[in-house]
Amino acid sequence: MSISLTQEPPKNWLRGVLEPCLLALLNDNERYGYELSALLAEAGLGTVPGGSLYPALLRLEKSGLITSEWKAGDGGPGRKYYRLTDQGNTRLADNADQWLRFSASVQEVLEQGRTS
Amino acid sequence: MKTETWLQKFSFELESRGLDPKRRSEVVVETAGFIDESGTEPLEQFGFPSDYAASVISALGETTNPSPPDNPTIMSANQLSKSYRSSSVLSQIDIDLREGQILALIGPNGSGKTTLLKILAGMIQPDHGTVTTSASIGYCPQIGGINPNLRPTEHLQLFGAGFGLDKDQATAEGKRLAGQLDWEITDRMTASELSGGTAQKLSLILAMLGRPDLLLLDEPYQGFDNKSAQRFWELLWTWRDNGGAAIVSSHSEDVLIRADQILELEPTS
Repeated sequence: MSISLTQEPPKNWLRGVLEPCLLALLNDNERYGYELSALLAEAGLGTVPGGSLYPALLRLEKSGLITSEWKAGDGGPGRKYYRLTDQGNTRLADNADQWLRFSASVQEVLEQGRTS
Repeated sequence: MKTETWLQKFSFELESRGLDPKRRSEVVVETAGFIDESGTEPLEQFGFPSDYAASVISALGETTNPSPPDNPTIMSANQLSKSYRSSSVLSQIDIDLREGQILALIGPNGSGKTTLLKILAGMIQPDHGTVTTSASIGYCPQIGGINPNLRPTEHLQLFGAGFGLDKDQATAEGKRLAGQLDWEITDRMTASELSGGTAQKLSLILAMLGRPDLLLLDEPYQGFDNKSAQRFWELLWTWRDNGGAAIVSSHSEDVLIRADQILELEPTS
């Protein structure tokens, strides 16, 4: 039995990093919910169900890290686009630094475990 | 479950949790758009409508950005102290509560939570210190507050009359609040026959009935199951978002993340 490398990462791994990842994806572009979900999947972070995605977006918006705006769609009811605020930008930079340090530590521990 | 049925139930669940119509339709339209575009089942993406509605409400209510501190002060207390016989119950307590804020009162048994709430409600006098407020107050005691021989609707009408509500208005408002706490009021039983949790809901509803400016709630959800406790917080967040204020005493740790301010009391003697 082999484990495929394309297998999705454990769901609870993403939970902790979902909000920073959303901030990162909104850094240069405004995007809507499904687009974010597709980008996360494409980046190899696994499938994020809408039921996790939207509450995360609502929390970020409530905290003032992102804002949203409805834009008319092609004949449809329109889409809600999310965008990073200045505060969100600062948080993203902080989170990115924290994560790099954290992930380096995790990697070190895991590699020690594999070779010993 | 068909997508349309799911969305209908979801919208209903958001409404029963007190989400305003504009916000509700935005959330539903956005959710529908996602289901449509991802081409998947709503159950698979979002779970049960009631669970997802609860997590949306909690994401909206769990503010990390509490109401601005420059809101007007609704109640302040300055250096309150109280002793019974020679043993001190409260010592030099200060409070500055703003409109749109929830203050959680925590501390072990005997730390004076009930005494403090009674002083704030004007039911007992402090030995030292002052309470300043011009707010109308709804007080929900930890025990009692309801008449064992009356039926729930009779309570609503009796208390409603005190707030200038006629019988129909009082009943309608009471039933609306009960619905948000997941309780369907019937008059089959008198208050003495209600379960502890349900009697507590009635007591809470009576405190909220006249829409006072400030709620003083003494262990308001002690006998509630988890779902009812969640509903209680959703109701209180809506209350706060409409500019109401509340002071809630509790043993549960969950108040720590759910309130805007914390006041921890310690046994003084």
